[in-house]
Amino acid sequence: MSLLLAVIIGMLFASALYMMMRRSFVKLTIGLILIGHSANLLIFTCAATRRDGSMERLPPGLIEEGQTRIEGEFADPLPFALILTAIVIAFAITAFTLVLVKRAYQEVGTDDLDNMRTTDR
Amino acid sequence: MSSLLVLLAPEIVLFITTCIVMIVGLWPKLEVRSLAMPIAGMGLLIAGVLAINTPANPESILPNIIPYAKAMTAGVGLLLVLLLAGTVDRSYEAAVERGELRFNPIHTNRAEFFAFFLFSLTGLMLCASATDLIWLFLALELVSLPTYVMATISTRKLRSQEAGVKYFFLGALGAAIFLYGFALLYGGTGTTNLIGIRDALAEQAASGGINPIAMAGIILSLIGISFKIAAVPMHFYTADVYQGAAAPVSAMLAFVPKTAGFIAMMGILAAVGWQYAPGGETLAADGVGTLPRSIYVTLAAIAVLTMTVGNVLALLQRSIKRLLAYSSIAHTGYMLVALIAGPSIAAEAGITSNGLGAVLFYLLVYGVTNIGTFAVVACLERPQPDGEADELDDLEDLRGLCRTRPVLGWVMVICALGLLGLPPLLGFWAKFLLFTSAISAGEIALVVILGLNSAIAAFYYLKLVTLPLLEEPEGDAPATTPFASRTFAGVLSAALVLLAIIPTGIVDAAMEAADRAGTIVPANIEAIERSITAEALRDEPTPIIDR
Amino acid sequence: MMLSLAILALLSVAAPWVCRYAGPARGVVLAAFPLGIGAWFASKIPAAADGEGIVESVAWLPELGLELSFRLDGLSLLFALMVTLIGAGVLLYAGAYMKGHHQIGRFFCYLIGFMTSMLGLVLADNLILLFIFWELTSITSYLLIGFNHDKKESRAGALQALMVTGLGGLAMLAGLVVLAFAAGDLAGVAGGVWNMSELPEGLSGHAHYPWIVALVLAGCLTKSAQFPFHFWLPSAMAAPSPVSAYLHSSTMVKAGVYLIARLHPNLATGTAEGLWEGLLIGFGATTMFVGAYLATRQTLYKRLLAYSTVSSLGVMVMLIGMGHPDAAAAYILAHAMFKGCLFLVAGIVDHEAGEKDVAEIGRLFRAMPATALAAVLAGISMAGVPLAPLAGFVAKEKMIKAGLDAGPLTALLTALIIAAGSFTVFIAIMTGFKPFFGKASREPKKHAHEAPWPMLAAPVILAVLGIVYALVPALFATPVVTAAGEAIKGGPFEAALRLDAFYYYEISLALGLSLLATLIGVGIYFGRGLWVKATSPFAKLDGVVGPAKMYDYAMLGLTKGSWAQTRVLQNGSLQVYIKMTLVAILGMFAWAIWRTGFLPSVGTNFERTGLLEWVLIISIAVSAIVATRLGSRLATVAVLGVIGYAVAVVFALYGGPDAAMTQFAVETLIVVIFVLVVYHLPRFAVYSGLAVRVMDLLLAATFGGVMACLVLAAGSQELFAPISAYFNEAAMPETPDGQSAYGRNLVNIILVDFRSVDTLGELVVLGIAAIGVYTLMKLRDDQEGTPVAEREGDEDQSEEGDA
Repeated sequence: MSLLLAVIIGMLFASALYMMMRRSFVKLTIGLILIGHSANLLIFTCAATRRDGSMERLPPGLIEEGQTRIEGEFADPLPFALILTAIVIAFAITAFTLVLVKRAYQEVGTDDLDNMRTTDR
Repeated sequence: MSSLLVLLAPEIVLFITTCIVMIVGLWPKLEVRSLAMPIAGMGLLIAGVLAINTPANPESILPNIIPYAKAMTAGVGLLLVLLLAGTVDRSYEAAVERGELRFNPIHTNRAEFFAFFLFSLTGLMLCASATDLIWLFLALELVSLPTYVMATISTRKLRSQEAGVKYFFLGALGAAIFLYGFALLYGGTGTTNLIGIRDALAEQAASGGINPIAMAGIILSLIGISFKIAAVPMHFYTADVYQGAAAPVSAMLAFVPKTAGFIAMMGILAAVGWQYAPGGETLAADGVGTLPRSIYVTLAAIAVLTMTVGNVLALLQRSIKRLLAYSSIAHTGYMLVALIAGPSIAAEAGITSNGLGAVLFYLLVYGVTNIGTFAVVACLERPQPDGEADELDDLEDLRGLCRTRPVLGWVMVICALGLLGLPPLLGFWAKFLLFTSAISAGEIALVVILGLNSAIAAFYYLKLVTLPLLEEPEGDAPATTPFASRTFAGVLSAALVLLAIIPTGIVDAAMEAADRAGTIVPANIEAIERSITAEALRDEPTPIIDR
Repeated sequence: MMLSLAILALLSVAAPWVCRYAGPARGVVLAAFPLGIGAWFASKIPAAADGEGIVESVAWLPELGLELSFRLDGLSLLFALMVTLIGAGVLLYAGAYMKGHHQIGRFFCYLIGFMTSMLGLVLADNLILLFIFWELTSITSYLLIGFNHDKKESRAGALQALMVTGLGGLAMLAGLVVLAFAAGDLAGVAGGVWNMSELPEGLSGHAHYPWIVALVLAGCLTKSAQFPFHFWLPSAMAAPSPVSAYLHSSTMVKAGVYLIARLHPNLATGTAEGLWEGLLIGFGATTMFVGAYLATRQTLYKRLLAYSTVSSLGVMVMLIGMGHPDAAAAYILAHAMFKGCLFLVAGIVDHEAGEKDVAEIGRLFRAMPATALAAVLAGISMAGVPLAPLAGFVAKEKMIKAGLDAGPLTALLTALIIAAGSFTVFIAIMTGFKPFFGKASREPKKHAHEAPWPMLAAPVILAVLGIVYALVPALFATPVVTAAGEAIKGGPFEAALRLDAFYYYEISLALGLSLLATLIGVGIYFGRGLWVKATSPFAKLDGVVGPAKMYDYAMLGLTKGSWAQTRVLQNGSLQVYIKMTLVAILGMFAWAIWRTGFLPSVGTNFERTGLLEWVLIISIAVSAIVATRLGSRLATVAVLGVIGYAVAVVFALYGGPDAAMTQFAVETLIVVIFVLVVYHLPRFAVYSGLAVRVMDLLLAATFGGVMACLVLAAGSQELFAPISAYFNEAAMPETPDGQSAYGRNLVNIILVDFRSVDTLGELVVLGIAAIGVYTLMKLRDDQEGTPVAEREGDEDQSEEGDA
């Protein structure tokens, strides 16, 4: 599984970067969203892969009613806490991006980045 | 928890201030809305005072940095608030209110503006308190996110829109890169706590070398953060954005994200430690060494490229703001040299050999001096063809300024010379500490490159001196904004000259802030002892490093 | 000493007022101060000759190694006397010379400011203090050269001088810091030794010695206009004559010589083959010859003198390197007299006859006899005419004697000294004789007349002092030279400045050579047309590859490089920025992987991958590719949604239901917002050509590949005990009243208990994004007056609550 995840992370990252290299800046938004997914999977893979490269479905870190601790193996909760943070930030960024892009498109009147060189000297 | 509240008191104050500023900003009456600026200033003042009295945080990788870093943030922040407020014109505001004039963001007071600004400063302070990678990531985002908006809305010109788009997308790419780095660092050490990372890395180093994944993570993080400090390879946005945004905002962009980035880099590097044998990835025998080879070479390459690229690009500029933007890149390169040199670990070393302290001091000096130059740009304007006044941005506009506008002209001259690092101005002391710390760490080649670069810098900084001072004014003198910025600029430069004569207190504070950063923790000492024993068993002579 | 500096500093500030209220007497008033200070220094001559130094010190920034420490020994005294006494003469002179200039107050402010800095430079004992004064002299010099800023050549000359000396100065700062730390190493003082008088023995054995020598000399040689850095000095002649006489002949240009002499006892190796000595002799001898040669081709009065000054500076550096402190000190003193005098004379000729070109003028003797007398005396002194009782001769004989005593280098150095001596004789005739007694090719531009007394005083006194120097050496020359020599040598020393015939018959070879040089020089004077023609090929060469040209080339190269970089990298295009960034990062990574020889080891087994996983993975993979290809905006949004949901399912399967739930919620929201905004956005257009897209694809794929490898490697690494066990323990209390987080969901307790600050930060980031969205929309409303969908903003703010 972690081999597959690694490949997927690579692919998502490649697609994201490809989109970020487009001249049409609307597509950059797609790139950012893809990068977000890729990063979340990366955090997950880094934490969930075991030493021999395998990955197991584990129960979540939930303590059963009436007990004070989880017995046996469970999924490491810390990366999921991290991922939660990252998801929310990515959401904030995405919402902001959309509005920025929309506004920039209305102001500048084009979505071609090659036409956005007013400051260029 | 209560100790955490004490540590975070300045941030909390700033956060509350921000909320008040936003509420005030939504008030229907203009008089009430104008209170936003004094409230922001008061908040910063209180936060600064609280910051100075913050105790050391033993859980932080940079235990003593909080008082200095936060007080610096509050102090420079106060100057920036004055600068932002200085360009505000009350009569203009009233006219906009009556619908007689079109709204122009630099000329009117916008509470959101102050709110974003305070948010960004809060993020910067949080960076200094960060003990953890997640925290650090959030703090860095908190610093940058408001600046994207500020750059975009600071003027109504097309250039601001474009600058905003470029700045934002490159910033997001940078954030993604350092997030990847943080994830790998977590993967390589199993913890997100910076002190935990330090211990894990020391253990790895003692038992055969740092995990390559952790190493890749560190390098990726440093490259990602290079966006914040405007270093190669993520420096591209600088000129376009500084030119696109209004001058007060550019002044802020040159200080706030840069400082945040440097503090973040310091934290990460302190987790690595400057205790590796030169040219290798193993611990130095006596614990006094340098960064691991791969990090050292990466940073050195970044430093050299950054200062050279910045200075060379600045040479040809006709736009003052672009010139200052490129020079801001160059200054980043200078500071990186001291960052590579690291803190003085040897107990008896004087404060002149502490590279981290040198960086902290330089940041302050650069921030304040740079505000001076941007203040001059912000104070000058010329009517544009569309009937609205716009800031001046051409070097030619400075011609003979010392005669036409003596205060502004001399501020420009003093600040440019300060940025150049001429003694006895404050900038000299800052650069001097970079020199001494790097040399005491044995980085003479880097110092020579730094010296050469400063000479290239002289070429363009002297334009900022020659044009106002020696040239004759041509055509009409530029109009000054009808605002209070001029007085502010004058007071600022007078303060700079005064400070230059007695910088001891600040230098001491900066050095104290960097104290105990990257010092050898007990775990590391054990690790080093183990590695030394292992080496002795292999019957190899222990290398003595000549520092 | 500090008092004298303070007085001068105050005087500098007060100069504009003095000029306003003192009127024509300003020169006298201003000159009185340095004259008094000079007299005080003169009273210290006997003490200094006995080897007694005066030390004054006040702590300023002890943490930075900086003390305001000053020391007056023989060497400092020699320079302090020149700075104050010649300075007094120049102020007197300038009071008349600058008469009527509209910025005369500012001029005196700069000039006295320079005097203060220069005096501080030669008195400072602390290395940093010395550097500060050093740079201050550069700046005041810059202001003074550029004083007539309406002239383009003034500005260019000022900038060039500051660039060259500034570059050297920065190198020198590095050198001084290395020196201080190296000295600290040797003396066992942590934090370095910063006072020059405390520098320990044996620096030449330190590992950083070559750095110290190279960097310190870079500063000294540029400041003292040594070849190939000499070109700034002739350009600096755009300054008013008093400035040229004072800064660019008597004092500032000798700062480099001063520092070389000052550090000589510490840095010398003791043999002529040593690095320090070798460099000094090499640079000094070359400069001496080249400077004198270049001077012979000049016809402008001040440029002639400037090049001859370059030559003289070379002589001083060479003599110190050869280990002849007496000759060096004697020459420095003599040079200050004759060259300072001639520069002032050049100013008088310019001021009173309006002439700058010595080739054109002559016969001014009748119009200005006193000036002519001073010029002739200075000229004879400069030429070192044998047996003429003048300072120049005494110094020159010592120089030739030194050349004859140079071991294996004797032949070469003696030949160079004689050649340079011949040129110098020619220069002396051109500057000291020709304007007053030579043939004039036309009438002077102005009606020539004698200068007023304030302008005559300094040149005449300097010329006369030259005679005193030679005839009654014991009066001041011998004690001063002895004291200076002791300081340069770093030990007891007796200078012999004698002019009796017997002494010189003893060294008849030197006398003979001197005579020879004089004759050659006179020969060149009479055949100067021929000489100019004969040397013009070299001049052409110099115009193509000479140092001044090299400086221009370097500046041009920087400009070109800057231009090219701007075109290629900084062209304002965001995609180019992104691509460049990625290429740079990839390069750094390729390098790092190559350096560490690290390749990921793949230890994954496929058996554990179930069908559901395969479905998820394949759907993400296909969607990722499809997302980059679609032309429809809505379809792209849908595909993004597929990826988001698939990722959420992965989290859910592997023990992260909370993350999965958030992902579902957020993904849904993003799709909704996207759909709301999507029709305000432009259609997806394809702007790039096929080749560009293929290149981009390659770059992106490489990057993706690197990331995949890193992830694999991360998977195969041994991890450290995760801290999750701790959360497990801390989640619920063991006993009902125990301390704990009281939560059953470990992810939740991490978010709200252990990492609550992060969660708060997260909320703030979200809030800022929301306000940012709001602001962007509102600003637009303000401008357009059209209510554009504020729904996005509202939705963001409501989301803030959920998270």
